Amino acid sequence: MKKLVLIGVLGLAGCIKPVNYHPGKSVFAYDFKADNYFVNGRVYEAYVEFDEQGKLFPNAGQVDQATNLIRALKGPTDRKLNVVFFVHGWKNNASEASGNVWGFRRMLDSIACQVNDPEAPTLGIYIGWPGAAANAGGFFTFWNRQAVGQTVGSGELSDVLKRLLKEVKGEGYAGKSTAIVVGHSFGGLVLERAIIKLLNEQLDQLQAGGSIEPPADLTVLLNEAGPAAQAKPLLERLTKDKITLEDAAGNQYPLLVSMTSTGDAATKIAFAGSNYFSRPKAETFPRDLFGQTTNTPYYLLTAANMVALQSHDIVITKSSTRKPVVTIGHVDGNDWAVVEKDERLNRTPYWIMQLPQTFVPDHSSIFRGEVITLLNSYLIRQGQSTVKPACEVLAARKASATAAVAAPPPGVAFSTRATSAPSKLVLRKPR
Amino acid sequence: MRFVLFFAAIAAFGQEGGALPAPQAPPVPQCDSYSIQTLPTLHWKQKTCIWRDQLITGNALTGAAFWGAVAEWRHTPPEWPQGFKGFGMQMGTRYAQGMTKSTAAFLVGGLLHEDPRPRPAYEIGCEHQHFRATGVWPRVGQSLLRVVWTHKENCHDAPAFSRLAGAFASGFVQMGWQPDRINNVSTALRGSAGAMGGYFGYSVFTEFQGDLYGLVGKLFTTGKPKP
Repeated sequence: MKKLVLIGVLGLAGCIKPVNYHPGKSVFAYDFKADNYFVNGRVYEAYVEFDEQGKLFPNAGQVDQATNLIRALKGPTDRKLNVVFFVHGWKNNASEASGNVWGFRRMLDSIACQVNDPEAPTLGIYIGWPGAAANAGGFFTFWNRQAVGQTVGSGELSDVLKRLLKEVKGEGYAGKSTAIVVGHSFGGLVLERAIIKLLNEQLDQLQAGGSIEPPADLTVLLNEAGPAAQAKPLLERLTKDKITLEDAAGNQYPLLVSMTSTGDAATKIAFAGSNYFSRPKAETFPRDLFGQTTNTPYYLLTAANMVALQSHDIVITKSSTRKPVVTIGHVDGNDWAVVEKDERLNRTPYWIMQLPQTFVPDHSSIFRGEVITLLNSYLIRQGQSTVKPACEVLAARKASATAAVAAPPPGVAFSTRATSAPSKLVLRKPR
Repeated sequence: MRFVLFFAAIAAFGQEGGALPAPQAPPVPQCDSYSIQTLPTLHWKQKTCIWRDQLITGNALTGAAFWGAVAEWRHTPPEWPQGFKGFGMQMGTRYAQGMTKSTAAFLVGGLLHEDPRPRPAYEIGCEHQHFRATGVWPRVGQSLLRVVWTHKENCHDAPAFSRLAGAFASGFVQMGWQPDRINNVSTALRGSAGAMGGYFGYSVFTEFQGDLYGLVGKLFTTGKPKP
């Protein structure tokens, strides 16, 4: 009897095998109907999945299917697409039982509703990897999944992102479609590794006095669970080469944004505690570009939790005298903006900051209207005006909303709802 | 000429990447962590998932181990042995009480269509004003109220009979193994009160969880540049 109980408990708390959750068809078109949960949008989804070695599952053809979908959506008229790539985090994967799949799906539905334009379809590309290893007792999989995340980030993902981003943005990344790449938690670790490789390739082509398009319009790491050591080489390169991302008028924009909630205890405490014994041997060196004399903080802290690397703050505009560099808009009763941090050492287009709990209250709650508003605000160029979304359900929600666990997105439009054409952004390297 | 047109058409089709996938209704959310937190109402299977997760979690085991260790240290009841066997009994009884509490609350809540979540999700046209208090004491008050006054699937609030049932079941189930000296209704009622206290404590904790995380986060802001 005891053995049976033990087998039952172990079965329920059992391991999750890394499998391809979309071995056949991996692209879908969903029509969400307006009810009291979803809003009213058509969303396209594509799944691209990697194994524990960071390789695409063989014979699945998921990248080809995603590529064909992008081409079909663009059509002969080269429609402008809104494409959101998402790399999920720990305890998740690409199965329908994964919370990140559903959160991302609902977020895409909100974005599609805000865009509200059949000629600007919304496509979500979900990057799956074996982030979940156990049904219960998942905490003990931290070190194991962190190592898998590092492997996946260093694997084929970078090449896959390059291929898909070129498909969305065109060969020189200069097309009119919008591409945002988002990674959460360990997904941030995975994405940062892959995107840095891609960015370095792009920066290698950048001549002194020249300019070049960035591969994505925006790369965002939300509550990233990766060591600051991973960001350091790129930050040093961007600092030394004085690289900027700017529009024709010289306004500065972020190439990457790393934001961690002030309420994210997981990356502030659990991450540092978990990596304390597995960090590399402490080394000392002369004061570096970010005022550090030892490598320990780079391995124990994430970039957004390391004060020396932080470049910006998100503030309530009426309580700050600093000039906004990004206007976020009205959220939860206040007007918010991104401002430069006083006496910052990080002056690169890799913006790093803490995120007030108004936007993301804790480590996991990232699929929220407030986050859509925030992402959108980074996409709107200075001087570009926007219109409110014409989504009736959202308007009704906004009118009746008094509580918001799953808050409706506030009245800021997604990028295509801008009334004027966006100014082109380029990476610049001075002579 | 027809051949040329035919191959040109194929080439153009290939350039566009073929047809779009046929639009379909999205799948129905099941037991994933996001949907369970955010869906306005939960169906029977999702409630079963919440119950299952309450039975086998690290929290259930560590909680039973902690309170079992406290009882072992205090040596109550004195009739039970000390040592590994005694600790096993102490932990086992608490885990069994927890399982009974969850199961009774699940069954009664399911029959009465109560929402089992400590903070039910926002629903259009079905707002619950006792979730919107500001200030420390009003929030303590609303979190205590949520334990005894719950959200139902028909958008009406009602007394939380599921939690009462859970608390009573937890208190009375110990009569199955308590020593004769304390195996009476009075002890069972004390156990029920303790179980109810657990509901209140957890509700207050979830109310302030975000604030606590924010506070802890501020304390752990490090990695400043050296002067």
